[in-house]
Amino acid sequence: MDIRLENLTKTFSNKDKTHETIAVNDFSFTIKSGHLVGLLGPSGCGKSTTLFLLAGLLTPTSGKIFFGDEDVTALPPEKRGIGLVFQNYALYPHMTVYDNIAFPLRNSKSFKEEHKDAKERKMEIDKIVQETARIVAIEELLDRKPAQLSGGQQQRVAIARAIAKKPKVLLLDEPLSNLDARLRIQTREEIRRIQKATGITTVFVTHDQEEAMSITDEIIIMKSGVIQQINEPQETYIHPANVFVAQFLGNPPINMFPVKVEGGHFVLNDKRAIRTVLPDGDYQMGIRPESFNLCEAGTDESVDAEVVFKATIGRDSQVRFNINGKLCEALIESDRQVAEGGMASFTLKRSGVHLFDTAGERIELW
Amino acid sequence: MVGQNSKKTFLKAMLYLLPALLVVAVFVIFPMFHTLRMSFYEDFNIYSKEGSGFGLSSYIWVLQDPTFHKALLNTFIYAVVTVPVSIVLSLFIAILLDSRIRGSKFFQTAYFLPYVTNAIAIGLAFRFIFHSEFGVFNKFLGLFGIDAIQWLNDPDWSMFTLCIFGIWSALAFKIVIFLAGLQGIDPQLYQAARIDEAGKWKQFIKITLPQLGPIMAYQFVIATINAFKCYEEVIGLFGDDGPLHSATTMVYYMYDKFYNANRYTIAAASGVLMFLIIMVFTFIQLRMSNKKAEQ
Repeated sequence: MDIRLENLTKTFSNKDKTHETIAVNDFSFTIKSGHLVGLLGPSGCGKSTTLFLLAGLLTPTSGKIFFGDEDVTALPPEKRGIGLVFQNYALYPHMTVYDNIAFPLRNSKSFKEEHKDAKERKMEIDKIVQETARIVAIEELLDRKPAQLSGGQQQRVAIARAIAKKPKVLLLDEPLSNLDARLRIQTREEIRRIQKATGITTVFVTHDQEEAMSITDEIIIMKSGVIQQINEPQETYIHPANVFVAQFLGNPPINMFPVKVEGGHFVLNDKRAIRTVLPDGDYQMGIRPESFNLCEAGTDESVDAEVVFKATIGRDSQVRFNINGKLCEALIESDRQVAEGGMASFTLKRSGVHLFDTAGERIELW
Repeated sequence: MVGQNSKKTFLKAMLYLLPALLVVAVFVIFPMFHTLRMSFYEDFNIYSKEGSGFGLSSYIWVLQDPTFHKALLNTFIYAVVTVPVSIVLSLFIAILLDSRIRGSKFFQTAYFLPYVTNAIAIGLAFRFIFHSEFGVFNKFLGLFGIDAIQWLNDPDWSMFTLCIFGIWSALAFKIVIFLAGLQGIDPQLYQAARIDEAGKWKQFIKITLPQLGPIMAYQFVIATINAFKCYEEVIGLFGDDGPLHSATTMVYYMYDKFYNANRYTIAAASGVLMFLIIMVFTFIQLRMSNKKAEQ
């Protein structure tokens, strides 16, 4: 089931209607059937609002939402056939795990019509609950109450509840934010596995770039209610559309500094370093930390800088130095000879160097 | 640290507690035992504090008194009618008030007013409302062609009138408690239920009611105890125990025997009996709600 958004906008106004906040600003995009898509952005960027609009818990100010060919904009959540995993799971505390998972099935009108006989329906529900519990590996917890489960188990129950009724669309709102680091990695793999196994079109909200990069087919990066870029995770990393995206993705973050072009060269630390086809003027340059290579002083197209900090962690060394007045960080192999306070020369991998105009838009050809 | 100076800390704690303990001892514990003692005499002089005829004669007298039977029956009717009806009504009103309708803040205050108003004053107001000739209630019924009912003067109607009044005056407190309970329910549970295709009624049955479980149990226990203690309502509405004692209740019986008939031992015995009845009911209710909570 494709999900299509057409010029979707949601504004919130304060009590006296004197001030309006645009949480979602004119969104238009399509999520392909069976894809796992990540909505990524800092807090307050409107990603959860977008998810709640898709769920129908919020009504858009303008614009339309389509599931397949059906316009669902005016449909209430109970009629959209979606599954939603809340940030804090929102399991029904007074029901057992079994009843939590069975609850949507017991309510479903379409399910009732498919299985008219009450006895047969009960058996069918039992079958689905057992099966779903097996998928998320909680078979032995079915008799427990949510309060008796760990965070990770609760989360899997929430997923089971959301997928038991075979939703057309599965929505996840920061489902991993309450888990510890290990469990987080384990569970995100699990989500990917379940999603692949069921083939449900899934939208996943997160503020954690690593989470989004590791399991999604596509990432939608948002900032203050505006879409910045939609692409595959790796493509987005390699071709960031603007300064915000470049800075948001990557850990450690990209090194970003202002740069001048003079006579076909970028000027780095008062030295004409890298050749370019760009005309003279002001630009912004971003260099990924892993794109620095140590070299002999005086090498063609190299950058010279004074090392102000060095730390060796495992096989990498973390080196810090100033380029054009901004502190930059590079990851280099630890066996290379660099000392704090000494000068170092670097050549740059062109694929890790990104150019932006002063407004922050990407310059593809330089 | 606590163990080292246990004697000293005990004395210090006592110093803080003593004033309150003294008040409790004088006004609660002493009267309790005094009543118990009084109830076992046939006759008792409350000035010399001396009784005569130690035994169960007062209890036997009370248990054989038809007025006490009437009081017992009335109290049971009053409890059985007003407790469930007022709980259902107050829950309904609380849900309306909670649903952010226009002016819900105003209504929240309005519904709480009876709780902070004197029961006697409210009773007087109700006397006007239920007045057979000039009362608003009969005027209203008259619009539908229903003949005037002698709400306050007909022994057959007096319990009915008392129950209406009792339900109304019990609403305020319950509404406030239910409102607090409703506001304590995680709103995301309702969002989740909507996603799970539960309609309004199903949300109420499957989420609101179970989530209100402990509060509901509390309301039932408190409401039952209060219903058994019904007395102000009777005085407020009728000035006495209604036409031909038709609306007499256990506490009214106790009051009547003590202050009007000066039968102190009879009053004491009926008080002890009432205490036992309330205790048994509370115990059963708590057991039932505990069992439910365990499930």
